[in-house]
Amino acid sequence: MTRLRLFAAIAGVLVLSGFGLFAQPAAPPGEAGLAALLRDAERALKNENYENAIKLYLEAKRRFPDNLEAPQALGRLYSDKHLYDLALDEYLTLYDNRSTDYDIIYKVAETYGLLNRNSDSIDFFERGLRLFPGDLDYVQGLAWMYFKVEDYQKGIELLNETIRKHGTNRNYEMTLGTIYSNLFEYELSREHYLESIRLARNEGADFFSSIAYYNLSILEVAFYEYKRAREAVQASLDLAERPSGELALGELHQRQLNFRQALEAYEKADRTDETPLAKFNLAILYQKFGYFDLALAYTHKIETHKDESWMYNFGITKEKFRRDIHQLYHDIYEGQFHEADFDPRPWLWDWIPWLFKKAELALKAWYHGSRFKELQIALSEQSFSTQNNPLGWWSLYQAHRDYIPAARKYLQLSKDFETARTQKAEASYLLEEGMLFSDPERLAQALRKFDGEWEREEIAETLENLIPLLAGRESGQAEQLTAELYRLNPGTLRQHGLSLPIMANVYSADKEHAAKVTRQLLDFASSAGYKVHLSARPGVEYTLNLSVSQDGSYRFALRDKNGAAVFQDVQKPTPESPPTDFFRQLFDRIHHLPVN
Amino acid sequence: MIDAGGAAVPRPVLILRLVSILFLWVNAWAYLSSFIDLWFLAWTFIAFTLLAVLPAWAGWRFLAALTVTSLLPWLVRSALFVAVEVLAGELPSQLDHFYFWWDKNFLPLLAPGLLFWFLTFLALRYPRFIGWERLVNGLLLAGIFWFQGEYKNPTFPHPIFQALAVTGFLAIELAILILLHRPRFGQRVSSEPGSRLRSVLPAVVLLIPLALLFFWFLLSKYEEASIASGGGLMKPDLFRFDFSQFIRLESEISMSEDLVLLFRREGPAEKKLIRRFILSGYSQERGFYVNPPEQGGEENIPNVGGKTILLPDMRYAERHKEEQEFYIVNFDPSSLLALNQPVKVVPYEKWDESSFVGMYKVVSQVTGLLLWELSDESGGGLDPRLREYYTQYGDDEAIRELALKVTHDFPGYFDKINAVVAFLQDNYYYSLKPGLASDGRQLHHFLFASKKGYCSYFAFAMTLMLRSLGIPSRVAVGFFTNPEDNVLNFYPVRANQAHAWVEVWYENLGWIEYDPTSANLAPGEDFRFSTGIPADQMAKLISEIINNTLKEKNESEEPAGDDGNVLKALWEQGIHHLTQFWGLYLAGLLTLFWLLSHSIPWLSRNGGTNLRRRAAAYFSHARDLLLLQGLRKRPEETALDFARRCGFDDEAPFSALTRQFLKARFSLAFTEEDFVRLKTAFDAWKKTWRAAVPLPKRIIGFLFPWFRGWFR
Repeated sequence: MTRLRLFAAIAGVLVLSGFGLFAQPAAPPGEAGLAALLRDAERALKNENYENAIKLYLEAKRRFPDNLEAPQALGRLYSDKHLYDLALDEYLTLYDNRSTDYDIIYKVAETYGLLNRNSDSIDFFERGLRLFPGDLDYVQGLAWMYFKVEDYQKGIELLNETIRKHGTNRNYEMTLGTIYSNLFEYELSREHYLESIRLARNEGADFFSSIAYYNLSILEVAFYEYKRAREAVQASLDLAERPSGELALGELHQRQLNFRQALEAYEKADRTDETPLAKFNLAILYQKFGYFDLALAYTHKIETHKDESWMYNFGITKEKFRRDIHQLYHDIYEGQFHEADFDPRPWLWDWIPWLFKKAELALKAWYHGSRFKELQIALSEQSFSTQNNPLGWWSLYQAHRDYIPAARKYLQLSKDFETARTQKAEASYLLEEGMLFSDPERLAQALRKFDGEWEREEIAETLENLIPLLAGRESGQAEQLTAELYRLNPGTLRQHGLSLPIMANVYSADKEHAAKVTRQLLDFASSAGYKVHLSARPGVEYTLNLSVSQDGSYRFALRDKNGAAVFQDVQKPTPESPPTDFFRQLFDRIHHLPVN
Repeated sequence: MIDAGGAAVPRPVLILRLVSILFLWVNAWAYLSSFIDLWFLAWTFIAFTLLAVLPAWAGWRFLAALTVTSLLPWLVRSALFVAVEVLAGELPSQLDHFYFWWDKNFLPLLAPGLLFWFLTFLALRYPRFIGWERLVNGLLLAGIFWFQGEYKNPTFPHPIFQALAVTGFLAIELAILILLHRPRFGQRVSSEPGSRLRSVLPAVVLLIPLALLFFWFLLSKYEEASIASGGGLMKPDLFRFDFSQFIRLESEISMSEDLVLLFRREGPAEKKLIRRFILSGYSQERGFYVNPPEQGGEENIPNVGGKTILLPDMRYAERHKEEQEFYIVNFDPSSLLALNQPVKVVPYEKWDESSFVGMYKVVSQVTGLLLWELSDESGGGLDPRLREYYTQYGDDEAIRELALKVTHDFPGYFDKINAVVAFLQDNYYYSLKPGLASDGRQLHHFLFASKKGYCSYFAFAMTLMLRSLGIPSRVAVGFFTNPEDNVLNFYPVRANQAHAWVEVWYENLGWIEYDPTSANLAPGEDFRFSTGIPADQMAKLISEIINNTLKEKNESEEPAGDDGNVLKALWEQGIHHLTQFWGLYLAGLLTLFWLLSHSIPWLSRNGGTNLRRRAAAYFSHARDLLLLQGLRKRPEETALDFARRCGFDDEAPFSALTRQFLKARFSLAFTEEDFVRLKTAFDAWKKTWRAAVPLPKRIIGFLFPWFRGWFR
């Protein structure tokens, strides 16, 4: 009996302790139960003890799988911290439990969009819209995603149908404006943008109006209406100082080749821009003006931007952005490749590293150019799949530029399409045709047609392509055009294998020394490929006056054909530095505008 | 055998040669693998092989073959392009993409293809060139690894696999050399064991120093580039990735962007300096270095092992405890990283399939003082021996003069320190290319000439300037964290966040950190510098940590030695694996040898068009089989004498075989009929041999062909 009692007592203790062991595994700190867990998690969150907070939420999820507060809180937390992959897992968990919940479906769709998983995002927006027909947020979200994936017709149908049934609003109007802009429907696009602005102004939504004006400015630029574009940009900036507005302003300055103003606007944008777009514009600007180190530095910085969720709001895809980055790299390396032609190579052993440098740059330029083309082909296929043939043709023209038989067909299609909408596009197509067929006549025509105030960038591009085709002619036309290009953008010359033809005058009290310096200058110019003459030549408009004083200092001035000094300075090279270094710096200065 | 213009190349050599070239191709291709289609690469390889083999067999002249090989790819390209132009139909045409697709693959492969063709053609036409080709291949291998960023090949997930692959490649090259120098059948060389080795000994003797020289060159370049790519601070090798225990000032560095670890710390996001080493020892020759207590230094950094470590708590004033967690991704997991001043290290157990090679928690006593709060503090309270040690500056008078000049107007301890910091930050530039000092004195070059350098320059300069003023100070190296990268209190740390700074002594407060590195970039210089990691990668790592429970290790084992846990672990794993599967490995090796021992002679007898070679192979095989009867050819006797000594009369099949072999070897004409006669004689002799040698002996000879010579 005693033994039996003892056995029963031990068994009872074991069973009870067993229950205790298994009934309350890993009990949370503080009170048991969901409320306590959530409260503790909230507290941890407030104290920024995120890991603990997440663990508590996860514990709550595990122990109370039917309750959705924990996954909701986790989804919010992850989204706030830009951890969209983790947020998506939580929202999908919620969706599995409540597949008809308005907020949950929207969160899933939006998070997919932020992760640039566009087709999944569209799928969820469509699901949401089926459940909540005509809902403003779902319509807007879905229409925007249709725009992102270039499914413009679906976007237009959705918005027009909704407007017909439920009336319009500023968001719908702006999305329609953006879609029509990409469909090259100028009037329709403009009309919707202006309507969007009117509605926003009526509601006192200045920030929104600023965005709409900014979008309008992009449309105006695409249709060569630069004055209108400038007005729209100004209106956008007057309403709100947004980085995008500054970027649009900078782009207009860049078109006019106003380096300093463009730089100022881009840098201002960069200070507040949370996207890499300001850096992207800065890189392009530096590349166009020949500051390759800075261009490369900014391009690298763009690549360090890890969060790609900004693309959701900008209607751009990862592939398009990647394509643009490759194009930028290609232009930089190609520019450096041509610029390397002006490295002095007086001795045979200077040629070996120079050849390696050229090969490396050629390879890099080729690689990025090929990557660009590859992505253009892929993007063209996407455009054709959504019946956006004009975009596809243009992408294919750019992809096949090196293959005239293919390129000319797509260029012709693009030209027919765009010039039917605006005659102002003709100059741009003459430029493209001139480049494709190496046709000086077409390039000369383009030159005459471009707007001298707003299309200086295109004029410079035309000259860059025209001058090599005219090189070697006795008339001095190539030299004259080079001088013209120099006036537009000195930094573009060497990156296109061009240098400013100059006439040099060397002065010194000691004639022998003057002759020696002249010889050194000519030797340098010959080894580096610069065009330096000692007497007047047809088309040579710039003169370099170089005075050597008794103390070994050089006074130099570059003067234009009217005798006005483009720049002048005095420099005293150290006795040990070879004359090549001095001349190299001098010619570098001639071919660059100072940044500051 | 392939006979190209009279000279012959053993078939195994050709096969091994192709393997070796394929290795080079695949490694070179790995750089552009996302870009160049593998099957285009394969076809290019085949096409250039055929373009080399066919003209060589046909006996074409080099120039004719070169012309055809150079022109043919372009002709094919033109023909294809014309075809595309004709066939391309309605727009948009998929065929239009062919131009781009072809050139994207064709252009980068053209140069290596032509080089491969050139080498193959020469190898077939001039077999002696195959020996020289080893040198060319060595150079190509060096070139392939030379031009890759930070000496990492995308083909290999870990450098150790790369090392193994390169070793394999070198083994193939060596095998080719040995096979090339193998004595021909019938050649009058000793058949004693080891004679073949002796015949190739000169080649081996030449090759080994060359290979060693090559390795030495490659390794020194690797080390130099590795240190430079680690910001001049880190020294990765095959087995571990850690900071260097002595820091040299480099003329140029770059920054690797590999993720090193995740650092977790609660509280507001701030820049923190995570210390790995204290470099307190200084000499003008070595610069700053880690100096353990047994060599007169003070600090001894323990390794993180399997149990909790308690470190001495110095009880400095104004400090509070702060916990940090380290999740190591690409760093020596036994290396202790900590905020100044660690007092406790708790290693965590790894979970299955962890992304981290190690995890641990550190508790540090950190100072909470702001800089201005130090203004009244002094530098007393340090043991005189230590004070002397921490103020050694190599009696560099130029540095002392500069320090005196900079701090002239600042009488206080704190003010002097700040004056030096401000002087460096305001007057010097940050640069990854500080340049080379003509006299080798990099620090002087930095301070007095170039005025630009990276963090180590600033830390060295500040430490020496302060020491010259009698202010105890030391260099610290580790990583900095970027507050902007904070995600849920986790901070990703990449290799480019390796940093050097200075710790200065304050009475009661202990060693306080100063970061003198200038934020101003050298004019015209910008560099790729990024912190943070892609959001999806960060999310994955954080999710892994959160979803696993951290368990403290509490093993009784001692912390790992300085040689590093990874090396030790690899060695242990290797030994464990070998002891477990040694039988399998041995059997596999024996099978491979057995197959080679049978297949190579069989291929030599039955394959190829060169009848003389095949005849020699038959004779050699017969001679090998006679070993089972204890009959071995002596070096001094002729083949016929050998036959006679074996007891074969002139009519015996073996004598007929020997005569036909000698005809094949020495006669001007050796026809198909002669070969048939040889084969008939061989078959007849084989029958007699079978009858003479007992079956068990034959089976043993078949199973262990290497031991046939042991039979007497």
